[in-house]
Amino acid sequence: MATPTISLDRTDPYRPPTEHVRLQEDAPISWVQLADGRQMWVLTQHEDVRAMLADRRFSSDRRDPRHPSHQPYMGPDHRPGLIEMDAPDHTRVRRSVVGEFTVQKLAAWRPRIQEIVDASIDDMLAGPAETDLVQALSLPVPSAVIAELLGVPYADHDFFQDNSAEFVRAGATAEERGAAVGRLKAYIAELVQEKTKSPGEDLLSRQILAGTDPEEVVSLGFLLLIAGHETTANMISLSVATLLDRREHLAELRDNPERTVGAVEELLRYFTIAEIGAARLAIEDVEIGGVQIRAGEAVLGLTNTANRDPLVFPEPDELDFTRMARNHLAFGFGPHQCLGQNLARLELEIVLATLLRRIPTLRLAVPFTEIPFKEKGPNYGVYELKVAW
Amino acid sequence: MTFVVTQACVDVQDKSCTQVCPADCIYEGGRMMYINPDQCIDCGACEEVCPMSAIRFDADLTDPDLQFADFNADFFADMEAPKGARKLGKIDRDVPFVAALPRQAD
Ligand code: HEM
Ligand code: SF4
Ligand code: SF4
Repeated sequence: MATPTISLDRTDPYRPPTEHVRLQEDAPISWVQLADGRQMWVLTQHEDVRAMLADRRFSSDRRDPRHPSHQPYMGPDHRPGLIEMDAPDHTRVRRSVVGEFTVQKLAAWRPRIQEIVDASIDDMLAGPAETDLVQALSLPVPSAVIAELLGVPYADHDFFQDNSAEFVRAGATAEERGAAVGRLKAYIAELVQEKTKSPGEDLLSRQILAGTDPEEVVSLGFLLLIAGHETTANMISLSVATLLDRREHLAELRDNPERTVGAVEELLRYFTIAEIGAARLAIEDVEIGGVQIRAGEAVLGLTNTANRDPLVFPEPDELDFTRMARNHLAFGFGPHQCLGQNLARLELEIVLATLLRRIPTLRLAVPFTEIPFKEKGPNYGVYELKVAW
Repeated sequence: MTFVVTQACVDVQDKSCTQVCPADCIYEGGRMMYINPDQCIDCGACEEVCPMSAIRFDADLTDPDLQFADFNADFFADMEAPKGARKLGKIDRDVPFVAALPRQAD
């Protein structure tokens, strides 16, 4: 039988790509060809994706050309970042930084994040009563937060944010994007040098003081910047678009603001935006869900369908802010589970609560179906979200 | 450095944490849970779901919870590399400090 090719097309913006859903129904573990021609195992069920992500025999090291996330520039000299490492290197680096991102530590950031969100909303309200929320709020908030977390001096915020914005700009060419990456990496390297001379009260300085290799600090700083910017922005935009489209959910949150935390968790599950977040290379033969996966084969866990698995989430296509399902895979699972998850939750919660409170008349300025959704991966989201009030 | 279960879990043990642990390393003792520091992979999933905020990162522990880093490790001292929390089920004993605590009212 010919290997089926699966596309990322969607018929409904609220559901995962149609062919992902079909695979989950018809062939929950299958060998498929992606739209770009690469072939791999695709896992669609919660139990299988979870088992795969928790199993060290599936590698995150992308230098091997057979890895599903391999990029041509990743030669043997490529220096892997945390997200591309396997144990024991991964364990060491993760241990050195996970303490920065605990719920307990991040609680101290709540007032500052609130100020950052309020400042963006002040700017929105000072301008015309119609704007693109992606540019006005979704992108600037996570970028400002991560800049402060890393200890980027205030005077450099504009440089930092402009280049971060260029890196994720929808129309940017590969060259433009590459140039922005180059400037950001050079900037972070310079910052690390300065902080080595005079450390401050920030994440990068603490890493330096703990004796981490400066190159590793640069690599970590850069990963934190890119991993948390567009992902969080997409979740902000999709969440706001959903609330403005489905007014009953908006009313629910307005009447029960204490449900915001549950709403954030449910929206994370519902959209599960990181579509290739669970790509691995089998480095040993492993059996998953009764299927034999051989060493050297690529594997993609579809967290988006796994998070709609009816065996785990009853009525999975219902958006239910009181569901309180904590075992979703929107942030991945296992050793690489999103390092910034608690920060993302905090940002989302503060943004949603503040936006609803401060702009109660907020509405979509284009019909929901005309919103340009990012359907081509690697993260689901929207390119633009015109709102008015 | 790993995550540690502290006193707030004693006599609660609702096990929200074990549902999300990818390493299956949160073991059920008599009156509280214990994280095996040799098996924890620092994913942080348990800290976030604990309704009692009982799970803490060891470097951030302060008195009186500081001693719980040792208590978690001590719990496994006499065990040969335990195979996984699910397989072992409830292990009906506690470290002496916890065993001596007065029962929490239900
Ligand atoms: C809603 C927003 C976010 C989503 C949906 C998301 C999703 C994910 C996913 C699925 C992974 C796992 C990748 C894998 O298993 O290979 C991951 C890893 C990671 N994320 Fe996030 N993320 C978000 C926000 C953030 C933020 C705000 C930060 C940082 C400030 C961040 C930093 C990281 C890092 C450093 C890793 C790699 C962790 C490791 O490999 O140990 N993320 N994220
Ligand atoms: S979630 Fe917290 S309170 Fe519940 S069993 Fe685990 S450590 Fe104890
Ligand atoms: S941090 Fe992760 S691996 Fe460690 S005990 Fe908690 S859930 Fe398990």
